[in-house]
Amino acid sequence: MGAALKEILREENISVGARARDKRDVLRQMCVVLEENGLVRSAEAFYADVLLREKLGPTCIGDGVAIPHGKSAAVKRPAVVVFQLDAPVLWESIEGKEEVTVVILFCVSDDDMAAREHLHLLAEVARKLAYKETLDALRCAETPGDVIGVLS
Amino acid sequence: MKIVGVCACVAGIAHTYMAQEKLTQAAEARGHTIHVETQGVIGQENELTPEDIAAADVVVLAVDVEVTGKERFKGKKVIEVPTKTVVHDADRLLTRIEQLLSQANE
Repeated sequence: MGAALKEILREENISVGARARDKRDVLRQMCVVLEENGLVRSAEAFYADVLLREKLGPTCIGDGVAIPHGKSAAVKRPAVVVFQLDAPVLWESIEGKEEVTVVILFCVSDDDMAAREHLHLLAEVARKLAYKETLDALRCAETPGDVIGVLS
Repeated sequence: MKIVGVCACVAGIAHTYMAQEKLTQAAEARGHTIHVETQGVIGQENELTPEDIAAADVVVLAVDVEVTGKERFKGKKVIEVPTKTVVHDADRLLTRIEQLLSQANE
């Protein structure tokens, strides 16, 4: 289990102190990271699928954290990208818009069966996000290694 | 009280599992017994048994989509909310459920 979690949570997919103009800018940058690291075939195609999911309901979970996600044919391997921002961006939440400084993008392929083991790991990460301590620690993380430590 | 629940969100990737954890956490903190099934992209997990359901005082559905096996809860007290209600304030939901059940039992 430990080794597998490393496969979906990699330092190269984590950015601490990232800069972004707004929500779309963050998402676009995160999709580029996924493409550069060989996890999605096309940053643009995945970005479009993430925006589709955004239309279905708010993904800000409170405490300055948002969890956008996309299930897409563009995805080669499930992964989690984490951006901790140096300045907040506005994000849709249950009560309108909220300032967000941590964005966790879940990236899931269309082929559920092939990705099953990884999907369990993503679910594990999602469960950790149910705890306020996890969210607080993510906002205070100083290195990508800290972020991995908090989510593992 | 004994609670059973089902969590299912639109994509079945993240909110389903966060909601499961939050609901469980909040219920246990208030001294309830709880068993929560998830219906996500991985399929049905932590499945409720007929015994779990029979023994439950209340069924909490934290769902944004149609769930499999709703007929299992026929005749039970069912409270249905979107997953965001649980993700944002599971404790408030449980307080409301406790009130509803105590009113029903008066």
